[in-house]
Amino acid sequence: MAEAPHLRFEGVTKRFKGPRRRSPPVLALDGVSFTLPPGRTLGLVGPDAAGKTTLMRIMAGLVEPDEGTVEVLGDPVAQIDRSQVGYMPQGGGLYAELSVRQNLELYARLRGIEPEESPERIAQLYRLTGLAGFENRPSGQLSGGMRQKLAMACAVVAAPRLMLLDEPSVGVDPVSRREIWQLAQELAGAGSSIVWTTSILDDAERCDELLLLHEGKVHYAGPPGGLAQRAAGRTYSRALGTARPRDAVQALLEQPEIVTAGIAGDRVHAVTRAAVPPGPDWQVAKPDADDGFAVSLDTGVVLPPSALAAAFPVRSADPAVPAIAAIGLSRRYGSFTAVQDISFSVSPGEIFGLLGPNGAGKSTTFRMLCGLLAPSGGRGTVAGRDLTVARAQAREALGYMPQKFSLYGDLTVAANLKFVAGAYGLSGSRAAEAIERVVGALGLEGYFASAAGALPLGTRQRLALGAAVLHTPPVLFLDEPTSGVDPLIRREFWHHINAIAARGTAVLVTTHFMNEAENCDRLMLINQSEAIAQGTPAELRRLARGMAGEPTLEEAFITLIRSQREEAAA
Amino acid sequence: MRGAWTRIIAMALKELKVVLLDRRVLTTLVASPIIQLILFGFATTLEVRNIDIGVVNRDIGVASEQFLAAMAGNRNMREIRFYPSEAALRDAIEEREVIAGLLIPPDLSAHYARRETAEMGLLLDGRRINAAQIVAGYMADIAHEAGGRMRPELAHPEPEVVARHWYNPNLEYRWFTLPGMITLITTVIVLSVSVQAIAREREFGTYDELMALPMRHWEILAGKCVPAFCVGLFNGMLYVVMIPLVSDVPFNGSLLLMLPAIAAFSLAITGIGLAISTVSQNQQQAFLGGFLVIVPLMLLSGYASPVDGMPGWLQVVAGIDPLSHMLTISHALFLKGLPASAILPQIAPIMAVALAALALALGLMRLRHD
Repeated sequence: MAEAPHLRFEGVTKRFKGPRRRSPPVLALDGVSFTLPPGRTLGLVGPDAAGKTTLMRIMAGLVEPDEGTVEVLGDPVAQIDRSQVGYMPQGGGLYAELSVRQNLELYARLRGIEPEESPERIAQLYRLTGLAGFENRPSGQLSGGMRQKLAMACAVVAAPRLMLLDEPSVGVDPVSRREIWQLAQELAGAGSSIVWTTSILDDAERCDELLLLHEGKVHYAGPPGGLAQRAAGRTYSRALGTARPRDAVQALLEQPEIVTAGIAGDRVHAVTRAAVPPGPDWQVAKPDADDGFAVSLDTGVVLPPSALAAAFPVRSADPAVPAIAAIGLSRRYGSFTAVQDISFSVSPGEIFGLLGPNGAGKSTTFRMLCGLLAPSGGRGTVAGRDLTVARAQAREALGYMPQKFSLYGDLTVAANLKFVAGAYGLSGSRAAEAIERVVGALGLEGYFASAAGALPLGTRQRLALGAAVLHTPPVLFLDEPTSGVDPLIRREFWHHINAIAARGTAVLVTTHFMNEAENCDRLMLINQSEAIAQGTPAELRRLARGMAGEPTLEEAFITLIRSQREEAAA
Repeated sequence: MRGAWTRIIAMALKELKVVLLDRRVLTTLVASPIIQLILFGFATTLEVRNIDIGVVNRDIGVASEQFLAAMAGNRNMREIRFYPSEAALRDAIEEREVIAGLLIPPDLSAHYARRETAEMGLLLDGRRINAAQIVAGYMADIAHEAGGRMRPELAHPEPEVVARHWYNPNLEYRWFTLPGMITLITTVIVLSVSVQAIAREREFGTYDELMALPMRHWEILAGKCVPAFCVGLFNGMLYVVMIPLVSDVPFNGSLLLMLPAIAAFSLAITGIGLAISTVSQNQQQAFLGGFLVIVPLMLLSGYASPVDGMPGWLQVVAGIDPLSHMLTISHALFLKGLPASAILPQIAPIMAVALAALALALGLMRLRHD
């Protein structure tokens, strides 16, 4: 007899209470049906607030659906055998103060496994995750990639037949992302199946099946290739030529016939609304899942010119005078060097990207340049002001969007923006104007009176961006601004960032998305606290070319990092 | 300078919203002080009432009868229990059935009859030292009174001291405790709000964003003072108004003097709370830090035990404690109605503590940053 499907959903509907009293209930899932055969990997994708996490929680038996049938491993979900299902919640659910070993052993015991009785399994988990040697480190002090690996190990310590992984690759660099994917495959025994939610369609393309959710409804179910096919005949590319990459993309994004556009290597890539090329020199290109996603969720609304950027004064500062300069920046913690002698400069109107694996020293560099951390050596300037002597003046000149949402979750959107406006010295009508502009430009009107902590992730990121640009600063620092948000919001973000840079603002950005890195004017690759490469995206690709044909930026990234690691090991 | 004002006001408004939005915090801030005022005001009294006393009476004469009658008539006495032997009495004290035991010797009446000085034994429960001492005082009074009645010719052989208690003519304990409660409860509430101010930001990870804003440390601190200060001022003044309304304690002083005193006091406690908050990583640590200072602050204030009874060096330390000055001011204004010339010298040291604590908080904040 064939094994029952590992998951079977039929007409599953779930409503949540509205955010306020008397507001209508929110329909989180609306008649979701699908089947997952044993041994398959299901990628769950969709924009923010699509219902992905609710769906995961129903599979894990944590939330009861209002209507419909849910069968997990052939039985109704009410009779779920929890030792057979490993659930990794978003963020991992680790105890930050406990060590790696304590976390792992705690979860093992919670799942009915005595670590002493199954030393092989524990040893195997340490080996596969690469956490051997870090057993006594508190999990809060691990790098993002390692933390996700540990969280996954904790979820699957009992070798479950069904693994539910909610956003395992959020905020993780491309190298670690590949390792995490590999890890999931290795941890899943033969015949186990995996459900993997993600906003990164690169990950999704590795799955056997995809489920695209939007507003609680299934918009696509099938193999990843099928999703890409949705954009077939509507995906075009052309040689970049001499144009600056981000100018070419920016011009395309505002055209009514274009769904989305981006850079891939030395070509511009665009998806159109009709099967008509955007111009005479465009050639038909092979669509990928990203393109299919964009087509499936396209609302037909044309991106208006960025109102956020329109308020920035046109700054025509001397491009020879750097807006941001790092001169031999170093930071040591005792005997540990987090950042070693990093130097670069960013001109006004330039977008400079810092790339590198988690824990490489990007954020430390960033924090020193924002004046959050005093350098142990070297110095930094922002808008011509030295951070060591004129920290407060330097801060007035910069807008900062931290990696982690750092606004006040208890306060409303309005109260948060009022506070930040006041903190930048805007008062009365100037503050009101700035707030109105940002709220309008980022589509936050509907959330004005909601608590910031209760917003969907993408909306929260929009609010954080809005707070960083309220005072139209000449220098903008964005630390992983698009981490965890879906491709459509990422497109919107970069549309704003490009427009702001075009008015003469210098932008320093960190990202783990290589297609975003392509959009930067220049990049610096940091690994193991040192700068290992600096240049335009094309130059970085060229650096890695010696190793393999025509590398993409991601391949270049991985090659450059591996070669430095090998050098360090030798 | 206008920029600084804008930033401080933004900070203050944000802090007020954070405190006022949390419904639980709000309940704690408004309802609990009132409940505390009522409960503590009536519970903390040094008068000992409802005394149970054990008696082993070996005398069968008139003297013991007279004495026991006088004892039974005392308003603080609840029950007199008789025990057959000293051993039984010892057990009763041991079991806390009675707080004191009276041993009446067999020859009491005989001594009385012979017009000699008679003696009785009094056993006291030393574990309850305060109450026991007070009971001993009552017993001495009763003995004196009963003796006088039995032998009027011996009563008051020397001039009697006639005590008149100024400012509290009937020696009502409430008159001491209720004005004192203003100081204690304001301290607890203000401290619990102010210790959270910076620790909360650290715990929620919002401190980074704050440090990236162009705010000077002193501006952040100034803004963060506002909620705790307002809560202290509001609660303190609420008590001043409430106490004469709900009890018979009069308010003889000037509200215009009480207001600056409470303001200075709230600022001092806010400063102490903020200094603790700057060194706390999370709200839990902040609360523990608050407890760490609140107990010595209260013990040294003179509310529980008089400052005059402390060793000299400790009296100097108590002189720094803002609670001791606030307690003095509160009693002076409620019961005596003293003028500004007497109150201002008490406000000055409170202000000095406020400035020192805020300077310390600022210094710690700068130190922690680098």
